Amino acid sequence: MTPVLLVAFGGAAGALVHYRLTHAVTDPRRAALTTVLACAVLGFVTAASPPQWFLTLVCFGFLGALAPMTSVALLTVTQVRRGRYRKAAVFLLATVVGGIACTMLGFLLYSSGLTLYRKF
Amino acid sequence: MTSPRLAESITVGVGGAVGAVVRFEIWQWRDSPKWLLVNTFGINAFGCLVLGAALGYLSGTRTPVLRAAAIGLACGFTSFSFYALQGVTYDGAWNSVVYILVTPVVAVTALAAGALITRPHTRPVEALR
Repeated sequence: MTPVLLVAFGGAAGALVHYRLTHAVTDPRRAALTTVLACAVLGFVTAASPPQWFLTLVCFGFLGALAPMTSVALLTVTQVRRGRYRKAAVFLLATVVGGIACTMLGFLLYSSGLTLYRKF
Repeated sequence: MTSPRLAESITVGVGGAVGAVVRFEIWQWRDSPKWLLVNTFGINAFGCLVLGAALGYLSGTRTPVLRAAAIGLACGFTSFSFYALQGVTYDGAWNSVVYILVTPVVAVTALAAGALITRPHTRPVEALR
């Protein structure tokens, strides 16, 4: 029961923060930035292998809902329907490439940071 | 904070909580990386289709709270960050590449298809909002 409550709490907070930060999912720049940052933090936190309750609350709940796939798709489709094809393509490409790259960066940042910390 | 804004925030929060719990429960069914990958793909595609259908149905109407509820539910249910994480950490290289390339295309197509299916033809159509 507790994990479900933690996921619910994290999911509610993540969805609310995303909704407010992106002005009700209408601002592509803010949405892309939020998504990419959430990906970086998720990569970092996953590499750190935190305790189960933290993983459930922050990763599965908060960070999962902070960067939803529907916002990326919705903003792309909205741009296309307004005839801004180039902006839509740039937004989709930047979010996907940036999200994947930042996840790897977050993951590697923790592992290499830990290695450096142990060395010195 | 004004009242409509508060109502929107509450519906987004409740929707996000329900969506995240449903996603979490679906992930709990089986514990294998391949299952998670396939599941996340299905969740993202289905979530986009349903949100597109909901927003298409609501287009042209003044229902900000219903729109907020649909967006909150979809925000909690689908996840871009886990798509990126699973695509990066999955062992099979080619499966990862296909997954990373196909998911965004399918998500955008599903959302557009959902909106086109339910869009009311008698009302003036606005751009998905």
